[in-house]
Amino acid sequence: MGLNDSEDVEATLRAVLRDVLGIDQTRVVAFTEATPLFGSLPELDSMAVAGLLTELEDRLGIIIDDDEVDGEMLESFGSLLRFARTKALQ
Amino acid sequence: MTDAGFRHLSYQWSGGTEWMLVHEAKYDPQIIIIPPLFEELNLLRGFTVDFARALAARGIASWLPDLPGTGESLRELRDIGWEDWRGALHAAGEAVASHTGAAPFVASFRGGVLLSDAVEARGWWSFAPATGASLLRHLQRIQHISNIENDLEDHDNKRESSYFGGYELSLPMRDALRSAIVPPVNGPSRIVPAGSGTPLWRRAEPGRDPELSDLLAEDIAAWTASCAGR
Repeated sequence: MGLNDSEDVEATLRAVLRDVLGIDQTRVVAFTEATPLFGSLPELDSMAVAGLLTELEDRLGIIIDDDEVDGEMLESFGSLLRFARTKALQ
Repeated sequence: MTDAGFRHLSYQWSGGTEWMLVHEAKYDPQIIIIPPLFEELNLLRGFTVDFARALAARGIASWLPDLPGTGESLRELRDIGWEDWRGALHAAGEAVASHTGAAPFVASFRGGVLLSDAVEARGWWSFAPATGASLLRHLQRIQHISNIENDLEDHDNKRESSYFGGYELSLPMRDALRSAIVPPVNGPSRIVPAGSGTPLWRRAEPGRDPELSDLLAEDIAAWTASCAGR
């Protein structure tokens, strides 16, 4: 889908968080790299994370192997964004 | 809107008795609804019932069977195989035919499409079919993440059953799911693809989409009418 810079990836990640988790747009826009996700965001249980990753795969045109999914990657908005950028822009 | 038109009827299959949610059985045509599977069943339950209501608003009767091991079923899912689901749906279709004197149409959703050919039907309509492999992969992903959360190891292949997205499935059931594809059917069929936007089955919480359930009811109403005119 022609994602070729890191801002596109970031916008996609915010949109997926909004659409999959049903998080309010104003809250998603306020996420910073330090915003904690897994274990801190009540909406983000295992089913929600799985939906999030599958939707990210579709929208970014990437494949995420379960071996790549760990607590560190899901820890914060920043860590998930770094992972998504690495996958989408490689 | 009143829900006086809903009632429960049981049906028998070789492994026991299950329930169907029946809406306006006096109407014609009859549609047997095969719902999505596993966690998508819960995420789309409200949507599926909205669809049944939208069918009734168009003078169409619907029958929504519980699959063995789901809903009100007394059976444990871990003891159920893919062929049990097929056999139960076949029996549910026969029960509809014996209640009403006519074979039903099938409306199946997502993973339910994989089982749709088990029903002897006048026609098969389906929405956004998923392959069994993609459903299993998603269940395994949910389980993997849940295991991270709870500091557990991923599943052990040597056991007879294991948890997939929180569902305990026998390994033959897992294997059958993995290889399940959209089946060919012997009669009129129509597949409606998922629209744009984040689908209901991808969201973290169960959701409804009255506009979509209404649109799909309209689609199948027109399609069954065109089938009847053939």
